[in-house]
Amino acid sequence: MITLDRASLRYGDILGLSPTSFSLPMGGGITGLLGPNGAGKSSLLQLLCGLLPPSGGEVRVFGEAPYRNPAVLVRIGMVPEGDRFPAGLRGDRWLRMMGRLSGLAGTELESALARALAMVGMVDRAHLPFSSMSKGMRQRVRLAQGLLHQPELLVLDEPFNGLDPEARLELMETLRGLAGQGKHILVSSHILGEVAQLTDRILLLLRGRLLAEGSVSEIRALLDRHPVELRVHSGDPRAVARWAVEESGLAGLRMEEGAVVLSVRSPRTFLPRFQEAVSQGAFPFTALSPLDLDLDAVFHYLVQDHA
Amino acid sequence: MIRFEQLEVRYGSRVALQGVDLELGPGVTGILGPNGAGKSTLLKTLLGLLKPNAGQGWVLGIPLGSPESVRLREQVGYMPEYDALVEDVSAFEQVAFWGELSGMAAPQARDRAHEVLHFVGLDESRYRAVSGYSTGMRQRVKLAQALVHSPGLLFLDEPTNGLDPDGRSRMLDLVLKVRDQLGASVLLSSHLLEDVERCADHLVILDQGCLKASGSMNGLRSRLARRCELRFLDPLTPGQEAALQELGSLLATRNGLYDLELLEPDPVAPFRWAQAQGAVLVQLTPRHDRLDEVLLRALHG
Amino acid sequence: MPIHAPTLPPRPLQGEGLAPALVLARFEVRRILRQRLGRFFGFAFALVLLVDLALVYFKPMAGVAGQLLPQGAAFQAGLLGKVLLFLLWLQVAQVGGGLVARDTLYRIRPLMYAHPVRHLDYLLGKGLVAVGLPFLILLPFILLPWGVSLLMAGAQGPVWPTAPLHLIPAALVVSFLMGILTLGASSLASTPGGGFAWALGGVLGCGVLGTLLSGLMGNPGWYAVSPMALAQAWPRILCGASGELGWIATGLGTLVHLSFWLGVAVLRTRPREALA
Repeated sequence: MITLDRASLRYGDILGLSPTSFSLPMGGGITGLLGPNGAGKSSLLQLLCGLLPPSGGEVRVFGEAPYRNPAVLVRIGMVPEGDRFPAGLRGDRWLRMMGRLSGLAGTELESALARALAMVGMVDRAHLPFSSMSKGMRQRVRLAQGLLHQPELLVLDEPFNGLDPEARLELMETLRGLAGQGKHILVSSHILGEVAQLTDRILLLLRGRLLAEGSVSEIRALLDRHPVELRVHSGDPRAVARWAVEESGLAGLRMEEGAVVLSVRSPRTFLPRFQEAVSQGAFPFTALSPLDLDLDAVFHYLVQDHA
Repeated sequence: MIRFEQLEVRYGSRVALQGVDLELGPGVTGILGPNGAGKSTLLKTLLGLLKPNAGQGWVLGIPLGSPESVRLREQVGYMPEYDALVEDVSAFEQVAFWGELSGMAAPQARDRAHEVLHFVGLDESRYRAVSGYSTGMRQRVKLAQALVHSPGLLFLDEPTNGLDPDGRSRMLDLVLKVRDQLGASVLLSSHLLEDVERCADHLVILDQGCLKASGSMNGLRSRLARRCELRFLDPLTPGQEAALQELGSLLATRNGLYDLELLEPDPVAPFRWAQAQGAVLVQLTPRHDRLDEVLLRALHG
Repeated sequence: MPIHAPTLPPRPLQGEGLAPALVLARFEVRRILRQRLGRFFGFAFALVLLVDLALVYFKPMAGVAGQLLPQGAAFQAGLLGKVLLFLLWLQVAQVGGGLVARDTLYRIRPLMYAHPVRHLDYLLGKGLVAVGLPFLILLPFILLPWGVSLLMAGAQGPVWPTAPLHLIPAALVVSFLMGILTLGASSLASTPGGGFAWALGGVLGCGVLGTLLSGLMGNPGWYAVSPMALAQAWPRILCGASGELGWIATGLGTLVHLSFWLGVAVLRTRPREALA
């Protein structure tokens, strides 16, 4: 659905995105676009939404170049970063205005408006002026704007910035709901936890380059230089340690209070043996938690290894 | 360090804080609540800028609303949410300036400014004007500014705002280092629950000026009996997923994490089940309340 | 052999620091001294001072024949003359215009009030700079010609031996007028440039208004609306030279300006509005 072939973006001498190639398959679901500030997230989104032509290479969305291409653009909904509105304007009036810009009118516009507002749960609050809406409500109106023309691909640039935890959770729920209805959603964020809560599929950008792409567990498996750390809680951690040192593939071991941390080169071979031992009651066991399989750890290792 | 008894603060007729009973000791206290919940009123009250309209409060032993409360500000450090930096002045000079404003003599303030800037990790750059600093450096100058007079109480408002993952992690490490080395009581307000989860020992939840919940982090995140979270090495097949009900009732799944209520409180049972199903477990942890669940429960009952 | 891990050492003794107002003022002065525009003003003021000194030197020369030139009051008042005061208005508007506005721009004020700084301390600190700066600049214009004149001709020089007694109070009043006006203007703006514009606008706008009113009413007393006219009037009045503005109009005008601009500054820097 989205294909980049050595696409790059420069603003004069300033690098936005180095030549990048990847493709995202069709189908619904949420993809997280991750990276520190200045990594190229906004540049990539601008290319995908056809706001700018690539400085080199090719960008294809739904098989065509999006820049100045209405045929593609009607299938993309964009919610840009920021929180700027004409303060006195009412939410629904602004939405109507934006709807007319995308060519909707009359009853078609009204039904599109009602549908979009229902999707974001703002039906009864859209008549408020922006100045009396909370930040979360404004973010929802912006999302409704992106949904007006029923796009297949929804692109959100840092939608969670500045939201309080409750509004953040609500927005995530809304996005999951939209993804469930078959929309493809691309969300950029520099907060790992937000993305980790939302999706497993990520694109990771660093210094204008695509650093990794795929599901977190796939990417973690590729980082085989870093042994996986498993914390085993047990009534008798020494017993666990005694069992573990007999096993091959143990790279390290650390005792903690009430637990032992095992460093394992290949979890694929180690974990089945561990599972067998637990099932057979080889040692007392209460809990097993991997310490560095999550997005945080993956990001950290990637940056550490490649930056 | 902080004690409130039925504290009430009003702006004219509008009630900003109402019937707040609170007692906070050393350690990091996370303050959560939607925008407009009363966080900035709380801050102004702690700084002695607002007088309680009813009830009583003591901060670091000083009664609120008493003439002494100007002195309170010598002992409270405040790191604002926004960039409160004098752009055309070096980090060193402005940190020393804030030290002097807190009542330190000039030579001491200068020594101390060097010390705290080293502490937050600004070395050579501390002599350069702040306008050229990155977001991470700016946040650290703001932290240094709040620390320079060794406050007994520190209020950090969104200290990780605008930082990338590495920067955030370093800032949170600093917060913990401050707690351990300075022995100060730290109030941390953040929109990011993970930040609070990582640093806070206590939690305060505010909504519309009322205290919705407060207590130790572990106390509020009660352990849920028989609930556990499972993750497998490979995604489960639909058949395996259906078979999960032999183990207990499936309450939620998210990104391959299964939230399960076990039939019996036996941590080995899931392993036996996985053995039989040909799946491999990588995670089996007893389920605590997540912080977002604590928050939502406190806000909506 | 212990290891001294780098830690944040414990709380230092809180020695007696300076009063917050002084700390604030010193911080501002350091900042002003770094500004590049200062060199331009330094050059301009030096030029005016040189002209003044030259006049002191040449005045007795011109009157070599018979000491025809009296030590007129107008000459004394002229030491704080039009050109100097105009330059000073510009300089004070530029520096003073930024004093409060810069804090607004960078949102420093809330943080100030989170320190043991009271509203009064804040105003005192800023006021000290805004008023002290023009006063310190005016001082050499009074003392140097006076000293030179005394050295050259003793009591017979063109500058009265008692001139500082007239001119220093004048300089003080003028400095207060300039300082407080720019302080008020600065607190209306949200950028230093805006503060400069407000200050100049206030001075020039009131000047135009004064000219208009005095023309319309046919009464030169209305010039007292103009701060520039007020600043020029004070040295003349205190030296006893005749001018368009009398005692009462000047005093009243100054009082109104001072209280108006001070009121603006007080209202716009209240701690209540900080920390929003």
